[in-house]
Parts: sequence; C-alpha cells; structure tokens
Amino acid sequence: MSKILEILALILGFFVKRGATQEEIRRRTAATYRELDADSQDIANQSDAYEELRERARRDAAPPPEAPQPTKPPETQKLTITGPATAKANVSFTVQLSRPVPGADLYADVWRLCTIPAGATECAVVLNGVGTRAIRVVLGSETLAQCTVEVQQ
Amino acid sequence: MRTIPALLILAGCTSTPAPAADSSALGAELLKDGDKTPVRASLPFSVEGVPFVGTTLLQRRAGIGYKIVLEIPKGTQRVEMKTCHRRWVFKAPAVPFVTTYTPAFDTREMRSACELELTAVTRLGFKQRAIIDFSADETLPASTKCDGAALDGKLGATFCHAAVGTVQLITLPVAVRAYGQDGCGSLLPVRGAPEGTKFEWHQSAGYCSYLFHAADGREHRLDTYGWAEVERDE
Repeated sequence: MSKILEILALILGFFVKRGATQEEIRRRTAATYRELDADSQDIANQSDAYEELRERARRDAAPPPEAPQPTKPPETQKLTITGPATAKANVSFTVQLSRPVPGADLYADVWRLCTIPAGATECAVVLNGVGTRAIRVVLGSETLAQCTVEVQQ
Repeated sequence: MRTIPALLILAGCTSTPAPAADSSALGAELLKDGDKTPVRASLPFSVEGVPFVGTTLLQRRAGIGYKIVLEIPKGTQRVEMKTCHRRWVFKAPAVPFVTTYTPAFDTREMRSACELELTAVTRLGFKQRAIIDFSADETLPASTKCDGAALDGKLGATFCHAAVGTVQLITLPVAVRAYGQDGCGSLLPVRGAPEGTKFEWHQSAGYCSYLFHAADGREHRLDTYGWAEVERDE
C-alpha cells in the first residue's frame, strides 16, 4: 500500500511540476511579448537620430553666409585740365576739364578764383599777375588737376 | 489521510495541455518580467542562399526583394519582423521560416538607417534574433574592427554587433567630422593617427548610429547593436 502511495505521489509530483513549468513558460512568453512591444520604437528612434546627424553634418558643411562687403565708391576718372601755355594779363582765357567736377573750385596758385559751375567742363579765367601761374581744380582740400600758364603783360 | 492523494489526482493539478517538457530547461531559469536587456543576435539565416549567423549588412536594392530563410528552432511560437517603418508577426511559423523582404518604396527602409530585425519566440518563451542592416546612399568606405572581425565597409555603411561595453575601432581613409547618436558611446579619436581618421567607441546597449562626414561631402554610416545577454538555448 505504501508503495502504491509512493508511486501515486511521484505521478502527482510530475503533474504539479509540469504545471509549474508550463506556468513559467507562459509567464516568460508573456514577458517576451511585452519586451517586443516595448522594443518596437528602438529602430525607429535610431533612424530618427541618424537623420538628425545627417542634418547636423550638412549644416556644419554649408559655407558661412558671405559677410556684406562695404560699398566702394565708384573710382573717379582721373581729371585733367588743359589750357593755353601763355595768356595776357587781364585777358580772359579758357581752361577745359576732362569731365565735370561738381562742387570743385578753380584756383590760381593759392587764390580761389571761383566755384566751377555744376556740369561745366570749361572755365573762363582772368589773371592780372604776371609770371608763371598754376591753375588748379580743387575739391575740398585736394588738388585734382593743374596746369601752368605763363601770364604776360 | 490516505484518500487525500487520490482526491488530488482525481481533481487534477495540471492547468493547460502542453507538450512534454524539456528537462534541460526545467526549473533553472528565472523570469525577468519587463527586462529589456538586449540579446545577442545568433540565429542562423540565409539571404538569397548566402548563409549568415546573427547579423549582416547588405547592399540596398530598389524594388527588389530579399529571400530570407531563418533557421528557427522547432516549436517556435512566433516570428516577428521589424524595421523603422513597420512590424509584422507570423504565428506558429514553419521550420525553417521562409519570407521575402522588399524594402518599402519611398520610405526610410530605402534611404536611411533602418535595420530589419527578425525575432523568434521559442517554444520556451525565449527570444532569438537576427539583424540585417542595409547600405543606403553613403559612399565613403571605412574599415572597422568589430568583435574580433575586420569589416570592410566598402558599401559606405558598417554594422557592428558586439557585447555592451567592449571597445571597437573604425578607420576612415580621409579626415572626417564624426557625429554620434545622443545617449550612445562617444567617438574617441585615436592618438597617433592622422587627425579625424581613426575613432574608438564603447559599444552601447541596443541600437546606435554614427555618421562620418568628409570635406568632399562623402559620408559613412556606422550602425551598432550592443548585446548584454547571451541568447537562451532550448
């Protein structure tokens, strides 16, 4: 009788153990499925991160925007002044400018003769001092051009 | 007292019908509910007849499917396939498991870091995994020493599968700017190498991506998967 009970206990133990094992497997499987659900974002997150890396690389590689260059004033054409080599004192003579010079003055040596009219390229000059005189076109404090005239009596 | 065992037998203590238990797995494993420890990819598989184990990187082909044969163990409950774009499941899969994967047109499956992950849930509820990475439009080659293997990276991309915490190495042919995914192991320039051409990193858990950008605009992509747990066997 005790032998029969022993065998029955073994059989019972087998089924109990098998049931526990099946329960373990069921729980483990459920946990694995939950892990797979939780992991479902991993590859997508990595892909997002990679796209951001590419964007950063492109931004870093782009040339910096050009700094605005200061506007250079247009180069002024060189001014020349031409006139007669000799002139009589107190007699008007004409000097020509190669281009108009708005706001410029006409000087004889250090004396200001007049302001050159806007748009003018010719000027009438009258000198009363005898000798070699420098006819100058002056803008501000700068002599743009000059020529010499021998003034005679 | 003698009648109690008899009554227990008559009442039945089993819960649901189940196949015979494998003695090698009985009673030894602890359940880890909610455990997200990344598992080493070790499933054997083949792509277009070429065999691999665990992981590989393939050239991405537009509009063409890859025939994949996954050597899953008998009794596998489920095979799950996953990319950055989709996730799909096969219940009670055939052994071996055969499928065709065609990258979805005009999605990241075609143009970005987007691995194909194949996971088998075994009869005993364990995960076994294979990972296939794909090259995209990167064109800068690189050489990588990963987990004891030399990867040539000639497709412009590299996939490194190694244990978490181990140190791996990548070498580029020209100086590059290096970028790493936030939260992943930093890229450390190797002393003595020409500047910007050689980097080491500590393998991080799960998936990470790195980008190497050369002055001429060419890029190399490095994808990594760090595992912290060896897969469980039947």
